[in-house]
Amino acid sequence: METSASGEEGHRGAIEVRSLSKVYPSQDGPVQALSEVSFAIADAEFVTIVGHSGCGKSTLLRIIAGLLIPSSGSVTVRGRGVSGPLSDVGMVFQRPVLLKWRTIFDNVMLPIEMLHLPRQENQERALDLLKLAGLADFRHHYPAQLSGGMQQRAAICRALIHDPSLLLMDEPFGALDLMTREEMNFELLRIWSQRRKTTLLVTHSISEAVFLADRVIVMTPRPGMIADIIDVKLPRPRMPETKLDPRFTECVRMIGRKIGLLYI
Amino acid sequence: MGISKTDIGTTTISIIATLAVWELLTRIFHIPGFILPSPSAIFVEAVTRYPLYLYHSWITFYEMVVGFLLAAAVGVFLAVVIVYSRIIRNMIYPQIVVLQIVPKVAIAPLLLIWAGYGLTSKVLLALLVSFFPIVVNMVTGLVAIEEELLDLCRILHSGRWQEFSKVRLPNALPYLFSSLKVASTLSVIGAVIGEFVGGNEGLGHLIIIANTELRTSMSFVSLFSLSILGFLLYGFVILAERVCMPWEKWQSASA
Repeated sequence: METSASGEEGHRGAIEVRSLSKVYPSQDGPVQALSEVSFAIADAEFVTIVGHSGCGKSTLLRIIAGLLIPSSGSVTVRGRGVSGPLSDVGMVFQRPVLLKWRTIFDNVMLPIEMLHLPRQENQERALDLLKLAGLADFRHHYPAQLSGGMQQRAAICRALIHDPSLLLMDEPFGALDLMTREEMNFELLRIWSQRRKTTLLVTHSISEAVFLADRVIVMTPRPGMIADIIDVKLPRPRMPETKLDPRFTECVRMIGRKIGLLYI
Repeated sequence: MGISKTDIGTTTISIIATLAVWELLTRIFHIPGFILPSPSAIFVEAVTRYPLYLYHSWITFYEMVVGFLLAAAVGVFLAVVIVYSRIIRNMIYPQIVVLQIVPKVAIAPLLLIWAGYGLTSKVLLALLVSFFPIVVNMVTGLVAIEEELLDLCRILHSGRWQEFSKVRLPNALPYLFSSLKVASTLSVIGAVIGEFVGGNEGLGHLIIIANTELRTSMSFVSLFSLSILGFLLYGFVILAERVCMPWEKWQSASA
């Protein structure tokens, strides 16, 4: 078993990723999706991963969730090596992928049923979460009756219902329009400030990455490597005005340069 | 798709118009009844001998409904087996396709030899004619799951049974019902083919008799009865679909 000393702090409940590589076989020879990726995340920390599409962000997330086996390297979650799918993880995808035949409430309860957790006490949890996400009045609706943003909020509730220690989000707002997306950023931070999960969120929006995160992992594509890890020294709670803070713009600009956006 | 009063009105008027033109043509041109009976003659035939038609309709309806229900059961079962076992898929899928390609009319005489001239052979034919689309659609429905949902199932450590019952099966329902609609109309064909080939009951049998005796109005009453039966079964499927998938109306509203 791996030790959980994560360099600087060594918090319990952290994710530790060590020299992770992933090679996919393909028709034109092997494709290196990730190369020697290492980082650590502390308990209750909000970390975002930003980079071009094809830089292996999603691959990285799937490996941490135990859905993919790395070619080399290791992942430890809360001090234990990841060798298969982790039920201690809540996962949110780009699409809400709610079950269209279940009401919002029953969708949120799905993990409880699948993990055979007691239904009674978790019904209250589900209701609390839905209230927190502003969906309590819609709990008896079917997903198709809700807007994309509301569906994604329901998906976040579903990811949190079984009280996982990790929240993994793979471009969760990528399919939403810009206004809804900004709204969702606030919603997510509000939910996060209440529930304080260790959160790892993948995005290709630099400003979203900076706005949400304590630290931003910047990745370069082909093969996916870490270009830099940047501390975001902005006060919480983050407000709309946060985006006007010179430290915010400076951070965005710096990351843009790392990724290779020359016009920033 | 809502049905308005105008929709019903248009349909009714067009049916009445067709019948009126038909009636007029047969009278104006003095078309003999054994070639094309007038609607009124067909109506008189239906009313005066309704016990006969009711009895044979019941026989045909029984054959097609039992054949249809068996087709649904067999089709769903085969689809599940095909999806979950590679070996069985390789063993039976090609044979199912071959069976589907062989014209059922050509198999009918064989079935009569094996299952006799009674109802069983007709039920089997209805089953054979209608099960194929159910298998194909059901397989598609069981497999067409979003990748992320399967990831979610793995994260939540759902076993095969939970993944099947909570995700795959409900996901397949819309596919299943669209195939059941097709199958319900096919099962009529199967039952009638069986009655054509042999036996002494059912609307198919009546049509054969009517033809040999040149009692064309009897043929027409049998034909109309057949379409009513097919329509009834189709209606039941639609009803079952609404009951089983209450979420679908929102689905189509948003799509």
